[in-house]
Amino acid sequence: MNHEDYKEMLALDALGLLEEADAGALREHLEGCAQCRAEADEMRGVAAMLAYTAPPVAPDGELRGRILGSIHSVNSADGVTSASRPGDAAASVANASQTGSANAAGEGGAAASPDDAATPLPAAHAPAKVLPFAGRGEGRPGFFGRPAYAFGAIAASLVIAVLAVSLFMLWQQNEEMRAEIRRLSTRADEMTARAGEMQSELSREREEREILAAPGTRMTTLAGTESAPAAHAMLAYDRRTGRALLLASDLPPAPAGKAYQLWFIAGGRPLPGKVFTTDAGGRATLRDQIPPEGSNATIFAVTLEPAQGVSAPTGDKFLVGNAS
Amino acid sequence: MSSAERELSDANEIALLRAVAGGDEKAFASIYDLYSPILLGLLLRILHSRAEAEDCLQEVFLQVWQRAGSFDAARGRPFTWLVTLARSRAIDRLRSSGARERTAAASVVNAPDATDSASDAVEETFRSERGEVVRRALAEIPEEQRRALLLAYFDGLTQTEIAEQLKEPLGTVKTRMRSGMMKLRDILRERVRDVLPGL
Repeated sequence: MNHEDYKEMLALDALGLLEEADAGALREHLEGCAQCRAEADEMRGVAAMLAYTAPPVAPDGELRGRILGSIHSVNSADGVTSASRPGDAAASVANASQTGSANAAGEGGAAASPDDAATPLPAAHAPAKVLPFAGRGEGRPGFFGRPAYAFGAIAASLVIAVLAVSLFMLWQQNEEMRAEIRRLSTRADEMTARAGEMQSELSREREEREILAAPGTRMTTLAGTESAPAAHAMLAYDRRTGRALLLASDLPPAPAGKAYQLWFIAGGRPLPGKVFTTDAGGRATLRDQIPPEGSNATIFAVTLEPAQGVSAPTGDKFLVGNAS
Repeated sequence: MSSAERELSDANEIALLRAVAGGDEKAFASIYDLYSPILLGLLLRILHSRAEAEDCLQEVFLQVWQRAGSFDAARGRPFTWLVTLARSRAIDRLRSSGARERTAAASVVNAPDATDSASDAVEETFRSERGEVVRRALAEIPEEQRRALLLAYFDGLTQTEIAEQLKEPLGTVKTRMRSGMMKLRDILRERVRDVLPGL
């Protein structure tokens, strides 16, 4: 079929007269042809105008109520239930249970929106109702000899009482849900924080593994001095990148205001590394970078210094080792 | 209604449909009030039964509620979308109920002249200026073309069935319908600025 053939099909397509095969072929063509698409849209508009030749007929009110009611609890195009506002989960729950209690009360009226219940209603508090009983006048005797209209009043009070209870229960439910949402929100925040921490921990460990596994990495041990005979450490370092990893154990805890500091001693000159402290078990892990001038360091040492670190060692040596 | 007013009412309906897509019940009720008379009239004309037409109207508006998000203002007016949807539902119902033979016969015999003026007060209320334009335009195209178009639109017959009804060869009938649509389109293009948006 060529373009002209498709153009010829447009009028019949707008009237819904095309056979399946032709209709399908035309649909495919329209996907790729903007000109035909515009003409097709116009033809459909023309066809729709034919509806004006049918006299309009006003539907009755009952039909209107039926149709407007039929969309309740049916998802609209965006998946939003008719009676709820977007994002207001509590409201849609309220409305869903309202339908239940409203049926019990026999009326589809009051919208039990949580926003309306500004103050909680005490449970089962029926507003005072003066029932038009004996002494008021003659009503037709109904069941049990009482005036018939009294029953209407009693029924009305019951309805109000039921509604009041329902409102209160819904309000309560809403409060509980809000509390639950707050709890979950806090939990979610905590978990996010924890996840962040774990992520940092993991990247640190990965770095350490990389240092240890890198081809140019050397290892050496540092031994404790008289200040800490039991202390020892391993130092992994890569002269090429300068990355260094110190794993120290059995170091006594640094006194307040002081910390351990790593030194790279090259040509007799000590070059300062970072400061660190130990954990409760006397262990420490330090990631450091050997300064360029220290790349051919022959000795590594750890001294005890003021907490902020110094540029030249002042304190006692705790760990010493030779470069391997 | 001036063309500016027409544009405004279309813009209003487009906004309403968008709101319906978002779950707005009030907007849905407004669309219902604006369109239910003309749609019910259309359904009645196709289905020839008040009960069927009312049931179908409910189906139609349920689909409006569920599919409002698929309305594309660039492809046509809200009127076209709603009427097309309604007609599809009615024709489907006609086809599945097997009532087609009945109504097809009835429509050829009783087909109201498109230019009949309405006597009903209700119809007067809803008579729109645009409806007038269309009725007059239809009156201006040749009778065979008009009959073919109305049979096609309101009775859901196939091309072959229409040809049988009109006792004409299929080719002739197809040409008549094509010509009728194009003539109608030309007349409407002149008199209704926004048959196609953007024109």
